[in-house]
Amino acid sequence: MILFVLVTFTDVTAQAGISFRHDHGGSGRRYIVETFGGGVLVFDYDSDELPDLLFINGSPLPGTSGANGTPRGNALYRNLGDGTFLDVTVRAGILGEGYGMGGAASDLDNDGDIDVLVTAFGEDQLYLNNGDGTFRSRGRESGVADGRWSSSAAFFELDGDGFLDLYVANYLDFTFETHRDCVSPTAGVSAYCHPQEYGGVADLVYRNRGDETFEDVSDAAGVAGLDEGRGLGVVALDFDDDGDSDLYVANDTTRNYLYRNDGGGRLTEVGVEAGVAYNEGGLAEAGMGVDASDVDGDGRLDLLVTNFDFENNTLYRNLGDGFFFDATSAFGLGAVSLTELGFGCDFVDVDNDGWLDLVVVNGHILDNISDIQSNLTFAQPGQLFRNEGGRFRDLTSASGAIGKPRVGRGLATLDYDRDGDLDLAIASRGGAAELLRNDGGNANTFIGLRLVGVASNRDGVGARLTLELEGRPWIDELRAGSSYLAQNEMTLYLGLGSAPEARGLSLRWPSGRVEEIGVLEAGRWYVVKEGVGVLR
Amino acid sequence: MILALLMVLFVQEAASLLDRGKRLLEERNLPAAESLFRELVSKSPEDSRASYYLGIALARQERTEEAVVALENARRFAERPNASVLYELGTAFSKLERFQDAEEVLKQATELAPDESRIRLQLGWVYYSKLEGEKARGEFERVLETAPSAMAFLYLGLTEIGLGRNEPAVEALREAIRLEPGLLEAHVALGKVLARAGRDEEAVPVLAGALEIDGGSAEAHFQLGLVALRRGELESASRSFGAAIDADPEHLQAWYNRALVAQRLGRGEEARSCWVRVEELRAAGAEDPEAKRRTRARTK
Repeated sequence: MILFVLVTFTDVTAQAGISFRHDHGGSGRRYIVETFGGGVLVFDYDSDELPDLLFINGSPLPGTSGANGTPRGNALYRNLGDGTFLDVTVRAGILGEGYGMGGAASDLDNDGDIDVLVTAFGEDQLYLNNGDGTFRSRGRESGVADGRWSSSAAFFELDGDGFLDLYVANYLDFTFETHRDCVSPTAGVSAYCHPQEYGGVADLVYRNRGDETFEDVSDAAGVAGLDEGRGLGVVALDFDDDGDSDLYVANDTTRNYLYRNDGGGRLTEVGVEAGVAYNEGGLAEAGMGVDASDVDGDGRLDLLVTNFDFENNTLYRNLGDGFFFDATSAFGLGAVSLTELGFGCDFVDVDNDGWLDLVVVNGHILDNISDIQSNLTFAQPGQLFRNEGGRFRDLTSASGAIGKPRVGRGLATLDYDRDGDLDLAIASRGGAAELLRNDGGNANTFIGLRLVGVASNRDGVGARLTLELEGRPWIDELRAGSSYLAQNEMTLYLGLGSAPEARGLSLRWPSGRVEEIGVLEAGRWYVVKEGVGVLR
Repeated sequence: MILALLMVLFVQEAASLLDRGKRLLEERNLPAAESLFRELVSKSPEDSRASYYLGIALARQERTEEAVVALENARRFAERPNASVLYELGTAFSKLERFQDAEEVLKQATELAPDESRIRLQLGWVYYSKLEGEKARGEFERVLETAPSAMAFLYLGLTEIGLGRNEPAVEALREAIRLEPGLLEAHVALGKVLARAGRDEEAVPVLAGALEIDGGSAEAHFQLGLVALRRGELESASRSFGAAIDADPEHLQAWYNRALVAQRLGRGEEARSCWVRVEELRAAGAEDPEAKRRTRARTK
């Protein structure tokens, strides 16, 4: 039986000891890079099975007093397990340099601890985990220190060799030298430029050689030629159910990409034919964040893209056979996002009823938007939509702190207090980081699975969990990178309603191996090892 | 004495020209009316009424930029602020998408004539166009308090759609249809909002009703195609998109969706030709998504 649970989110940032504030680095010159950060990554950096938080920071830009001073840096917060966090950034060696955006985290060398990629306006940085609570920076040595302006990233298995490969979404061909002064065509005031004032940039695909280095295989993979895209969000999913990870990329003002993984290291862009490049009207939207999940319980992964103001966030229903359909309105998400500019988005079962709800954080890109459009604001409320059997209902007004106005950008999920429901971490542009505690979600039960790959990558990224729940199929996949400039806690998390156990679980690993897990008691976290089954 | 007599003659002639011009306006003989008013303006450049009617004659010929010049003169030379002049000027500004200017003069007009529904309707339309739904709704609701009309309900319905309030939109559009059963736009908008809310059973007869009014309504055919697509009725969807294209060969959305349907039906050749057309239309700027992204800034 599924209980209807009223869930609220409480801002526990201060009591958790989190004091990070994003620095956009702007001086008033309105460099476009200032308005698109920042990101948040959730991962277990010290292998204590508790999710830690890394907030990615900008840095002073030309024109600010701090432009030649000390970078303000990222912030890594260690989860102490008692509801509080400790800032361990300097000790861990992940303060960073340059202007960070977002990134992704996973075990890249299969040594049992989690490594981190930080995307940047400038060279991306790779931090390899030493296993003792510290990282070593290996950007240039590893081959991923591309200098283009990158935004979101995702680790996935491109070639099935058991090492995680990397997709990096690049945004604009912008430099301080090519900066332009722009004005609003309607209000005549200075404002951040339209992205089409600058060229697009091809995204990057890196193959993990398994020796702490990566090889740029964008050309061979078929990605290098697509340079009109202005990538902001990326998510890996197996949309065609063929066992490997495909990719979906949100582009700002140009068509979105859907890359079908054809095996052998080749990605084929099929977005237009699949029906996910444009909206229902055949128009390119201004895509920002992305997520994938089965929202209607038909056993297929659907897609969501957050978009610009006066564009819906768009939900594409997966029809099977490689086709999608813009089902935004049919799912009740049509007009509810019209005046918001969406960024971070997560399908997350906030009430553990087995249906994936939707959380979106919003915030305009123009700091003076109210002077341009009087009914819009720079800071905008986040939104919670409850999934009621395949149709969403706006529960923002009852959701507590989600509905607080902020210039929202990164959004990630985690169960930081291990109370059996999913909490939220939010990064805002130029604002304070937030940790929102889920209160009430655990009135229903859950199970959480952490994976240990053997033939597959060590974290099991790309693994698919399936079962039958309340008479319908339930599926989800483990991801490293999604939403916008963000990564969720790397666990497979399943709300069970009031069921005392989960039955008939099946896990398909990226290696192709299928593990029948059988019955798991509700209300617990499990560790599942490839080829072995449940360890604990 | 002679001077006074000349003045009287001049005024009489001016009045006569004005009356003749107004009659020509009523008869829709717009070029002739324009010619008369121009003559009057040349004789009496500071005659507000002459400039006002010249502005109307130009506006009705869709020469909006010239109309604005004339109406701005009418505004400048009027002895006191005049609601009709401001209304016409605001309407012309709206057509030119100079919404800020339109809002300013129409607000002034509503202060002068608070109960004149056409002014509030126009001001509401300006707010609607500026994507300021709450303000638009306020104006339309005030119009409906004093002078309920199908157009006011239609605009209110469209505004409610923009605000994401489906039920009030449905209510307003149904009322518009009740007052004016032949109002095509209301049928199409109602069908669209019902379909978008997943209420296909109600949407289909409404859209069919729209096609009874105008069998060549591309939008009604297109919406029926989307309903069929949602239901998985691909052949029916393809036919509807085809009908929309027949009605409007530049209907980008219909071409796009017809391409997707053809692909799903395995009709590769048809899909390819549709995609070609989609790209041609996009290249020709048939539908400009940037029109909706008005808040994004450009270089000076």
